[in-house]
Amino acid sequence: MSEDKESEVKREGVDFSKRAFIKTALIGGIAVASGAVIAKKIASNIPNTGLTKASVSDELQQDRVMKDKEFVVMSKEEKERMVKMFVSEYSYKA
Amino acid sequence: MPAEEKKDVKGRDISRRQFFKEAGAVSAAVAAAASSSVVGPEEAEARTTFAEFFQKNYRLMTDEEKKEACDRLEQRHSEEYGKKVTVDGSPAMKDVLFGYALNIQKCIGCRSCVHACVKENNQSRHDAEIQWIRVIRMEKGNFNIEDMNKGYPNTPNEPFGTKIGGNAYKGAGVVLEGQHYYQPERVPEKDAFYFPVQCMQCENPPCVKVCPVKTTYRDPDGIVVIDYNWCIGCRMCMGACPYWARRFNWGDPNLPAEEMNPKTHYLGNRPRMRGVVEKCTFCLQRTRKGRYPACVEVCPVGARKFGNLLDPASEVRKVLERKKVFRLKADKNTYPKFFYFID
Repeated sequence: MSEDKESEVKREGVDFSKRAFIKTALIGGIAVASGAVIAKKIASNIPNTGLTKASVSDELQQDRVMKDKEFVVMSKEEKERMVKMFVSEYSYKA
Repeated sequence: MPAEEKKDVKGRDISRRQFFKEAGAVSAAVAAAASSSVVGPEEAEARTTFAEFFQKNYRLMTDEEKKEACDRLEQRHSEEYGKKVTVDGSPAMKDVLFGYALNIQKCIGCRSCVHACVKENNQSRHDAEIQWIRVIRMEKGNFNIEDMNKGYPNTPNEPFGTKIGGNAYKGAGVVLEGQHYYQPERVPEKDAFYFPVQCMQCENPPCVKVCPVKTTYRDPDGIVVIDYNWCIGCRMCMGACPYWARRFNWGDPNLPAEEMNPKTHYLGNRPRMRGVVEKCTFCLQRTRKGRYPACVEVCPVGARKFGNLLDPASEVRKVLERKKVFRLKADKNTYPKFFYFID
């Protein structure tokens, strides 16, 4: 490489060559990827109390729903009618 | 340019091709390292294949597609959990309609059924814990049939007023909110009875009607199933369920590899993902092979009965025939196939 070309790619001490660009891009890429990995690891290790709260809230909702239910004893006829319905409406479609 | 000129003073190849080759190798190594640390063995989603993303709704698949879907999951879960995981796709058996009966008088509230269910069905163990069966503790009322007509009004010469004597001031029995977190030293407690709740496998299930993507449906054996891959997590089914028996995965389920049950079913106990709904399936991975559900098998007092509603000789049909069976007073015509009874 001639001296003129060398001075063209190195203006004010900054290397503008293709090689330097790829090198910087590569290092930048590695840095971003590593940052993402670390951030993900940290985020996944933070206990999320909100999730537990939401889950418990679902369970308590079941309590509230079941609290309002009233059960009554089925008569013999009712039971027979129900079983008959189960049997007659059964159909197998795989 | 002659080839010799591309070498540096130490004789190393410094051509552009060589540079890209080395840079490519380094980048690939870095990317592989980064991705392996992102994925980790616990990240089910990261290993999900494109085929899995684009697969059809399970009930619309051909037998071949179903087998492919199960094979894909088997391979992925085996890698994730470090053991041989099987994902079964057994369809409903012919001439079988499953029914369940629970003797509320016998239940001692030990919650063995809850723990057996959690283990069998690969439910999230913590943060957040998921349980398909909840046992609600109820206060026992102390009304006495003999005292029904023994009370009398507090006002001597009037036939009305506050009643005293007889059953007055005796508790009628109520459900206390949050009482499925009871922790007594021993069960059963003297003043309580226990009320286990789980999916009732309705014959006319409202949850199926509201599902916008038809991912939940009733199989011919009466079990209401969910294709987790198609669930969009809208929670419509949860709101529609009259018993609030469905559970939602708010976060990634926590299922330790050593506790994972490797015998799974596509529509049942295979590991679930964040943002999907799950619920009791009468252990279809067992019952479709002629076995009892885990909760029936583990119940120490034999309070749980299970069988084929189409078979007059089955346990559940015998219960319906001979025992006092309860139904919900405000019946929404859902026809649950889970019955509570007393002797």
